[in-house]
Amino acid sequence: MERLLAVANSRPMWLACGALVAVVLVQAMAFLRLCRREADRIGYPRSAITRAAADGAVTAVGPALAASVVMLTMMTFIGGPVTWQRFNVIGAVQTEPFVAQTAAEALGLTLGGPGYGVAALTMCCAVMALNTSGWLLFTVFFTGSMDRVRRRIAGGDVQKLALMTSGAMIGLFTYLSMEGLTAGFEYLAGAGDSVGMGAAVATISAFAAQMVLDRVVSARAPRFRSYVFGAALVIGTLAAYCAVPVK
Amino acid sequence: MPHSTHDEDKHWLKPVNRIGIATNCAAIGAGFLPAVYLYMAYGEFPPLEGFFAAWGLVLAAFGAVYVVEPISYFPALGTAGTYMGILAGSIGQMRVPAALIAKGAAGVEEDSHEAEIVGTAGIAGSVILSTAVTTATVAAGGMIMAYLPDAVMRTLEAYVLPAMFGAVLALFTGAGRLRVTVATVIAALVLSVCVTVYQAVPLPEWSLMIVTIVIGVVAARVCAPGGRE
Repeated sequence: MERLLAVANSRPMWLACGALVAVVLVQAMAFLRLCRREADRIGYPRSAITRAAADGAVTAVGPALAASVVMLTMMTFIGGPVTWQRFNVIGAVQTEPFVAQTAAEALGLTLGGPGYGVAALTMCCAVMALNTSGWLLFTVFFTGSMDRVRRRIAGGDVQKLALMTSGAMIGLFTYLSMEGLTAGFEYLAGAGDSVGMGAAVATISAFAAQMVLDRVVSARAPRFRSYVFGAALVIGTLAAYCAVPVK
Repeated sequence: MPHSTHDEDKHWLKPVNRIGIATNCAAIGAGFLPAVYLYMAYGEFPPLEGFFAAWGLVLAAFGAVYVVEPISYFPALGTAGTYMGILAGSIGQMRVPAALIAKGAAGVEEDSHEAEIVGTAGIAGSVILSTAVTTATVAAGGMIMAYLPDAVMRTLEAYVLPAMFGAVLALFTGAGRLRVTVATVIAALVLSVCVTVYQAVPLPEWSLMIVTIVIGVVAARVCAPGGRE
């Protein structure tokens, strides 16, 4: 394990892993530059683009910190550079611990256990890269035509398109909220653990806080509207902690 | 109209696709560098059967998601946002909320060209910030987290994401779509409990995402006829 971590944390590995992180950053900056250029062309204020980027950045602080907790665990198994690379691309918390574990198990090993060496790490890196490539190849081939397909389905009817979009997004975030809500149901049915109940409390209270605060702030102090989302997050998390403190 | 669709295609969509395709192709190549370096430097690789077994399992777990996720998130992310979201990940947790908050604060009209530009800038901002946080985390190792008490770390890990999903659901619900959301949540909860808790409906878990999206679209059609809401 010591040799493995020495290899995994070596300088060339930082460089090899940093290349992908650099691509992620370069892409975001290139799109931001294009946004500014397009804003100039259509006469939209440049300052609004900078403000939008700042608003987007603030939104990501909470979830990015939450992911950092999982990153620290992964660093002890596959080293800093690979963890850094994988947590900057698709998959991250949801897939990479599973992929690392699956790669180890396919060799009859456990992650970080006896026999888990450089060969296993090499394979783990290859499988993770192949997994990410699946998503990326799909976007390379199909993103350009997705908008055309979407508009064709709605038949050019803007109201219908907006309705379909909002219905699809309500469905999508209902699905993402289901893990917490189902865990709460399991707890009430006597099967799950209490943290599941806390997750359900977090989902429901953040939903309610966002609905109520947005209505109140929009009516009385619209300039504070961009802070409502952050406040709803804090209220949801605190409500869950008060209902079921995590030990 | 200050600009035509033709102009949008020429000045926005074309460069967006050019940047997106070039960078995502570069990302595919860069993703393999650690494996290539390790193999070239140490010459160790496990038996190929093990490699194909692992890849097969991962493909079985996520193969459908490669297709479902880009299609599902596209309406919220737009074209540039899809390239960024699919490369940088954490779409539901960071990219969609970033686009929504940016558009909401700017007060742009839904589905307009301005909304797409502002949403894209919001997503780009979230990507730059999350890259900075992950970089700081690995650079400082356990130091950053050592300042946070254990209870705070575990609370963040357990509750931030469910709260985030609840709040984003409320953002889409807005003032006039509460009935759509309530109907979708009830139907999805019944389905999710039947599939994951009682295993009473023989649906694979990966299909729940797309089925719930269809439920949302149907609920919008039924509960908001003609798009009145």
